[in-house]
Amino acid sequence: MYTQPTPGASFIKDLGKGFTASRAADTLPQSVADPGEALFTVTGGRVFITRLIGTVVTTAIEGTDPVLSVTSAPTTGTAVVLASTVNASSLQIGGHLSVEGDGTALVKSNAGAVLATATPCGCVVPVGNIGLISGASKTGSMKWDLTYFPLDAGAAVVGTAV
Amino acid sequence: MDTNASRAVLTAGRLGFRVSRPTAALPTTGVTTSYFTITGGRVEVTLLIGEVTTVIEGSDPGISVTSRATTGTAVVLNSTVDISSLEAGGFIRVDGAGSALVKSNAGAVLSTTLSSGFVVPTGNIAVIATTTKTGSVKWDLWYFPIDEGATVTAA
Repeated sequence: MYTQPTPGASFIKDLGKGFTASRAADTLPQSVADPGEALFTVTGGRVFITRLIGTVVTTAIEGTDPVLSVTSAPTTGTAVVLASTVNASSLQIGGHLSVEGDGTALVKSNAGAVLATATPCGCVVPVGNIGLISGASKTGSMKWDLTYFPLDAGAAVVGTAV
Repeated sequence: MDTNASRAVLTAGRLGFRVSRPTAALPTTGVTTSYFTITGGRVEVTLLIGEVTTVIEGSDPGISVTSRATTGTAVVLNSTVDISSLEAGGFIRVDGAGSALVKSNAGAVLSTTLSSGFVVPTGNIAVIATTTKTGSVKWDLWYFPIDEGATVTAA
């Protein structure tokens, strides 16, 4: 009897949300203005981003707001804010910041879940960097994960080195 | 092995087939210019974006995008937005909501509230300009056929 091979979990994951790029845990940028501290580098062409979330690890966010936002800074042209600031003070270890990619505020949540939103991430970014802007110097550590589909041949995203 | 070809397959799985229209000057005012032609049946458009290749003139050029069915009445996919001075690398997104086109600088094409695509029948997708202005845009469209044999080509 013929048995259908089971596709690998990685393939199914890629099929649904696209390729994954991750940036290892790092302390929050300390008052780094636009275009911020680069989290991801986009090379080779445009990509369609399907998910972009940050997770607090090791160290909770300080009790006063680090004033975080996320921007896309193209190699040529003007940066665009993907997610504006939200008060992330005291966000617990395991808590999340989600980028909808529509320019509205980051969506924060405790460790239990990243909640669904009215605007699911579906933005397009060109060659350049995706950066984390910080309006204040606060303690806290986060890792970031992004999923994407390349729109142009050779387009790819990698997490920057910590 | 993760090749560009295999990566393109995954993109097609999520967004569908890609059709590109080479860069061209903005259409002349009062002339409805076909940009994409749909034949063989209905298609669901999952992503339609224009990228500015020559900066748009600074004085009040506006464009809108409409779907003109071969039979029946046209429907405005996105109404007019003022794209004056939109920089090279800037974007125009057609989300098919009937509201104003979504423009942005080169940094990103922002997400919209629509998580699904829009459906267009046999006919064409056309751009209408409110005034004749300088500037060039190239367009890319991704789609899934709904009816057997339905395809999209650049006009």
